[in-house]
Amino acid sequence: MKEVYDVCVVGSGPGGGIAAYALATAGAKVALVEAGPKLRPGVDFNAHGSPFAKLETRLKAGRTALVSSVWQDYAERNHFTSVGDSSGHGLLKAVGGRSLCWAGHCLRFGRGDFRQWPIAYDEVATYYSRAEKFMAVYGHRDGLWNMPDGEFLKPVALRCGERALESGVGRLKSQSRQIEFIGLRKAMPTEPHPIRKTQCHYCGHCMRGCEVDAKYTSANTPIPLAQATGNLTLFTESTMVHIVMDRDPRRVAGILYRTADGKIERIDCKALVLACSALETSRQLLANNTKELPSGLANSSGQVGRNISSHFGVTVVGVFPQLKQRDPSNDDGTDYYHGLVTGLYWDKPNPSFEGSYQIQCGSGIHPIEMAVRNVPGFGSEFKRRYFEINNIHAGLGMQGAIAMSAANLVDLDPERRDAYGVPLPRLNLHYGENDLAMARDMVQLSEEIIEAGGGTVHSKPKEITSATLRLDQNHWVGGARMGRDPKTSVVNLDSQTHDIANLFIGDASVFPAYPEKNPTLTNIALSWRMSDRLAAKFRRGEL
Amino acid sequence: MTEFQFDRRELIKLLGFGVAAELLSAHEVASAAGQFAPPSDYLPRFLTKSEYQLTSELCEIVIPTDDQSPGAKQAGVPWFIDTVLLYANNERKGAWRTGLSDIDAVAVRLKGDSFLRCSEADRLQVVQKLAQDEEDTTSREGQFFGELKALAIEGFCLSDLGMTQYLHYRGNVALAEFPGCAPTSITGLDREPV
Repeated sequence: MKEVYDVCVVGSGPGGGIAAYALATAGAKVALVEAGPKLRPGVDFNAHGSPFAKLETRLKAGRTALVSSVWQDYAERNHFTSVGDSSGHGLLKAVGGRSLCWAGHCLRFGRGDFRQWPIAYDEVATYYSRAEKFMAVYGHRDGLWNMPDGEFLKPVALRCGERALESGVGRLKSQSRQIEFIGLRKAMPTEPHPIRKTQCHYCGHCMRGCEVDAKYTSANTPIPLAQATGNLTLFTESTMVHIVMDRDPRRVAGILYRTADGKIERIDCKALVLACSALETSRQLLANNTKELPSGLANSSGQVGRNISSHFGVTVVGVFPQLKQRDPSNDDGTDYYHGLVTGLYWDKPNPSFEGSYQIQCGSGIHPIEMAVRNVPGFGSEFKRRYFEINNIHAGLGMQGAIAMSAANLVDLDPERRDAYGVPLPRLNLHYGENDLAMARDMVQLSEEIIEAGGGTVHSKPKEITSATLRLDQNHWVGGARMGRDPKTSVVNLDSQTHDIANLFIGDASVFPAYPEKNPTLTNIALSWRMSDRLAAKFRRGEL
Repeated sequence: MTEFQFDRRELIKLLGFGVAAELLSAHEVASAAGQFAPPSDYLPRFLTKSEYQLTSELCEIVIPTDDQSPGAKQAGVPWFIDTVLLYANNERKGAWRTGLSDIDAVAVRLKGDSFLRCSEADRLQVVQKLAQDEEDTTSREGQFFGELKALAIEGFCLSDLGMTQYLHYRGNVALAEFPGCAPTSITGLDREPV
């Protein structure tokens, strides 16, 4: 008789990886289905060594990035249709998903952020702690009320450029401004750790892909541990093409997937967890429409694909003459951003927009990705200025959440289908006045920080329009929001869909609101929480 | 369902000796800095011989040998550009052919001869004109010059020579700890390092 798994998890990124681990260690027989292959750190991506020595091999293999980058080398292309403002939709089909290319930023959402959620901070705090201990997160204990401290390992030092910004923020703070500067918190061990054995060696390649597996990914920690229980079966290069319904329309029976050699196979399961990533999970729910469910699975509310948001921003660069004499020999660290301006409008909202933003701060000489590239002139003077500006610069990258609106949503493209015949998603993005006002404020604040830190502004956007905003294509959330009311939300407080009792969502689709902070830690904490609740329902015989 | 609990010893066995042993060698691989210098007798594979020479001379004017470091030619920037173009799409390839011939046309217009037949002083004046037009979005030559410059400086910074001798870079290695901003190296940062 064909095996029926307790749980089938689709997608092995940050959410799916932790779900597979939590469920397998709870004793469930788990099938983890990943569309992409297993990539080998240090082999399939490796930015170490001389870029010139590797150049021709890379170009010959059809790579367009001049230096190895797991994101640029393996990310999906042309897999969605953009409607409205210029959009982006990150997908990386590989074991570990986009945990392979994340920078590792781990910022807890705070009590203030959870006011807009149907669950309180305290209900997630245990899972934040558990996740941080499991992932090996470094950071300072900063004591900020709306970005609580976690289980931190030894922090990583700031570079001189970030310290110049820190000193600017310190001056503004001394003038009673509501602003904080902290060192970033990231998921890579900086000291011996019981689970994560390979320590960070500060080469700065985090987002290009950590060659030594020091940065936490689903591929290097939860998935191998889940496999070691004997309870996990990992299906790689297996693309889900259909969700199979049970005779009971309130239950799913399993999935159909296409193997690397084109065969259609079936996995039967007692519960299904979709963790395909926000937007992609929405697409899958919408695309699995039937005569009985014409608007798609779990969509009686009509909210699937709605209430989406990502982060957007603009960049301002400052130069600090006092840094001319600094030692530029190794600014690698843990990728570009080491510092963070935060605490903005948490207590007292800005009168011209709702919400908050944060400013990620980086600096230094990074030969494989120089920060300031547009320097006029030529010859010795050009060489001198190009080096100097990069050497003494500090970059301020804004990150704010796009205000959720009815106009921003994912639906199905009526014309375009993927290679398996499933409709591609249409990503409708329209920035609003709130977003523009927030970006204008960021430019003004950045100028103040730079000047207070003894620098001058090197570059800033000439104007703020929807065309000058930079979208973070990897920070999408929403599309299957959490809520108590089945009429206005897709999943309940356990991340279980209201409509289908054995269908759960294990990714950032469930976020009902989005602060300025990076999504992955909360995604992992929530997916872990969902998995515990799913396992408890099993034990109680509810599934 | 039965609970599956890892104890600490089990975890170390799984991640410490299994996975990490494999990673140790990756760590070593990562730490070994590869070295590469393009062949000095390189023959261009995409650009024609004269286009390659033109590219080389332009790159050297943009990034000359001076008291800061050796220049673009010695770093292998012309090799880098020809190699990138060899694998580029047809649109980019065509744009470079057109761009280089446009620059020659500017030389003819200003100095009455092709760029490579101009004197050093005349070549500088041609590049001066191109650099002036760099910000002018209506100037095809200026725009192409900007592209050439961007690829040249990118290649220079990626080259072994540019990284070490121009940028003074000693990174891309395994460190036990990241030092950050050394407190003694600069003044004017009035807060203790975080």
